[in-house]
Amino acid sequence: MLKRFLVSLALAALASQSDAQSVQASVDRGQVALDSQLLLTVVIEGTQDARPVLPDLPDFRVVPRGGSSREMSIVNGAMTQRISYRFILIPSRVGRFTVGPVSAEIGGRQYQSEPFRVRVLAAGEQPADQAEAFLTVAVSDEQPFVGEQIIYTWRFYRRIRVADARITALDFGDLTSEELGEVREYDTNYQGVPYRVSELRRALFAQRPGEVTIAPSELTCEIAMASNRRSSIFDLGRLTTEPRILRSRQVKLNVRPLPSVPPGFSGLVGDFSIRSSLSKNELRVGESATFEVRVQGSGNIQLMSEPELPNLSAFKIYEDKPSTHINRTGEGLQGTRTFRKALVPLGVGLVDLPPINLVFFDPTREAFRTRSTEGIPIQILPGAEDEDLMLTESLNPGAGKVAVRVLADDILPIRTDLRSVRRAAPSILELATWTSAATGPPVLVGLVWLFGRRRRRFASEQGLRARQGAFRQALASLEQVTNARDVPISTLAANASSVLRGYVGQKLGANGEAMTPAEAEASLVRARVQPDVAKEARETLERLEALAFGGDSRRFTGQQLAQSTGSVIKELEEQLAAGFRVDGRRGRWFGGLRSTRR
Amino acid sequence: MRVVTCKLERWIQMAALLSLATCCSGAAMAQPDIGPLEISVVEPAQESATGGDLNRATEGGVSGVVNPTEPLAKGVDESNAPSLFLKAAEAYEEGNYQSAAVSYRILVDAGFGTADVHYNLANALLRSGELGRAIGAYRRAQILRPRDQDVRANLSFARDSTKDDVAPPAPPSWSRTLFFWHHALSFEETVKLLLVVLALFWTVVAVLALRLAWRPKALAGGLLIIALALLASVGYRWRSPQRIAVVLPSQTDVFSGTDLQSRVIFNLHAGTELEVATSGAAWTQFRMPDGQRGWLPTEHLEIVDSASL
Repeated sequence: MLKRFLVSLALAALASQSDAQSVQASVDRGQVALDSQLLLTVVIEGTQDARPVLPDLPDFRVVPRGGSSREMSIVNGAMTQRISYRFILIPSRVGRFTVGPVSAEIGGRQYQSEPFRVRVLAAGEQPADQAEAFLTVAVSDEQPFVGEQIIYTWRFYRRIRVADARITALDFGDLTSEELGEVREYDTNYQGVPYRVSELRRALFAQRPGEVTIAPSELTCEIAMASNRRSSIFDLGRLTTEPRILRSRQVKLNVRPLPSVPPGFSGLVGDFSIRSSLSKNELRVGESATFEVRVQGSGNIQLMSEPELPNLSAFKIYEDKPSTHINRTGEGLQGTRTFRKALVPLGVGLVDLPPINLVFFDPTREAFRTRSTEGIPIQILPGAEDEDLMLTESLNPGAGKVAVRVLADDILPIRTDLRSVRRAAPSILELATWTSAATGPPVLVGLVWLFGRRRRRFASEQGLRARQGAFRQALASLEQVTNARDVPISTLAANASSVLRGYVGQKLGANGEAMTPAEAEASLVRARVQPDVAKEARETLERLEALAFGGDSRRFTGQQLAQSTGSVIKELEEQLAAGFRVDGRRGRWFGGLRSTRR
Repeated sequence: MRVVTCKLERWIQMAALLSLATCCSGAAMAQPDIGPLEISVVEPAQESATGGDLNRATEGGVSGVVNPTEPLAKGVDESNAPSLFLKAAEAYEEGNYQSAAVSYRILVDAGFGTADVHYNLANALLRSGELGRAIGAYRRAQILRPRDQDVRANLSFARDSTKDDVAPPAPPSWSRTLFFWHHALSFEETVKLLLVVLALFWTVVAVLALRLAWRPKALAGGLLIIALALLASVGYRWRSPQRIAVVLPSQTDVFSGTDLQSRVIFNLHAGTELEVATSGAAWTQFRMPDGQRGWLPTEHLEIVDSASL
């Protein structure tokens, strides 16, 4: 085991010494058509973390393809490591060009590849056996007249499987373009090689004379490739895709101006015919007939305006909306435009509708041509009754209410109100507002509850304070009675009675001043004061009231009154203070525990 | 000798098998199935919407694989977003739908993705021929503002242009009737309404706590029920966000697994809306209305996720 490990170590050491360093750049072929591309592969040997520096390639567009791939191998004890990069080179012009050298820094030293030359052929010159997929473009006429319909045919030839194909540039510059149907698919042979073809056609119209260039179109697609990696002998290989950019050639047109334009030229360029018809050749005054002019042909029919009508002064004319039918076949724009009018004769007699001329330019004959309708005779008879026609009221002759027919459907317009432009996520202010809205009400409820609780507690505490201070206040008041000089004894007795009543009232939470002695006794008994003490309080009150209201005052002094009253108050205080407690939650009095009088 | 013969036969069998396999493989590669190809044409942009940077973005085209609007969105804030919005509208009115779409997408990437901006983006995409992305944007606008009639009308118009007869994912009618508030309100609206109802509820509770003569117990109960219904809606959206996938390519193969070698089970076309089952960076599994499941490359789909709005 140790022996094997040492051999491996020795091999690794040997291998690390034989690491070669170089930069190699190559392309997949030496010549390429303008509408194809080269694959440039740069291999940097001796490292796995170098990046290549490409030379200036002004004649190519360089597109990196994928990332890098790293390899490491040990062959006969020699370890090699390499990193590969691949780039797509899309040529931009025909000629012979030098590519390289590609440089890279390996271990602090600069290495360069050998430069090489490639040849770029014109689009379509590539040998067919090399082209797996390519584009061609063709126009029906490279020297069209202004307004002439040109058929632009774009074809995508392929003999490999492709997917996600899209034309990323189809720019016709100043030319007006009209679509000619869907993409057509068919099989064909190109230079003896079978291909699948996707064909796209557009009708182009030049607006002004001179040289016009149709830029090359580009097509990006994914091409199915067979992977070389096989996990087992039964693995038939996997299909992978790689992006490919194909480009067509550019097309130059030399647009010729029209010859001197004759009067009445309709602006149409192509081949057109015109005919007219009338719904009735005999009608009465007041009746209406439909006059129809139909222009048909191929060319720039979408630009067709109404032909100039002859003078129809014998009729009242009501316009109708023209109808257009354009057929977009691969052969070009062909179609019909129909103009209709309702004619109401104003007088009787034989009237001729004169011919209508259509002047257009025929590019095949390179000359202006005129086609005309035939004249239409109309016999106008008097009205069925001699009625007074009020033509101005008959804005829609012969028509009743008709159902609304939807001519076209479309999407509703965009919104332009600037209030639409706001942050989709809520702002800090909004968050604060909504957080306040969420938390505020529960906080409000809590505050209300706390307020009520405090109010109740305050009310109970106020009573408690009053009860606690009643004894002290009573003694202080009796002290005044004791110290009073030159005060009639009846007054002192009234004061002492008031003190005792006040004390009982405060202690029991009632209005003591309004109590009779009997009520005071009963209240004290209800408050669990022993009956003899309550009775003594009643008797004291009765004596004081008797003195206050004219009793024998010579037998008492103020001091005696104060002492007897104070004695009763002290007795009551002892029993009440020990026997009562306050339930703060309900504010109710409960009986004390004291059952015996000391 | 017999042993040698057996081994030889086995090698011959293996060689034949290998030859057959190689032939099949070679035939498959030499004569690939070159079927019809759907080619989408991206017209070049006519004009710029907002200047040089947007010029480059517009040239890339919104249908390209790389969407270069995200770096541009970093420079958009409250000060210049309205002007970009107006320029986008101007480009739209002039017929430069791709420029308009790029501008609207920048606004969305910059965080200004309101229902109106998504709606405008959808219009511009639809005019540009990007049916799948347009339907995706309409769906986003609809999630943000479910009762918008314009969004509904234009989405219906866009759906008329789709090829597949596949009903878009939608809740059953009983659910729409029974839980009408859940389907009629956006997430934001539901949360705000919930907060308002809760505020009213707590206010009523506060009145009850004051022990006044008026004791609105029934009102408090009703508000509590409404709040619970709204809370359930918020919770459902939070736990089960709506995820819809819209097919982007004009035609794409649906695979039975997450491998290009797996069986192609059917085709779908641009604009078809599907219910997402699982979604990853490379592949997304979806459910059809009939329960059929399939896999599509995620890059072929526009994923509309209500949780990300």
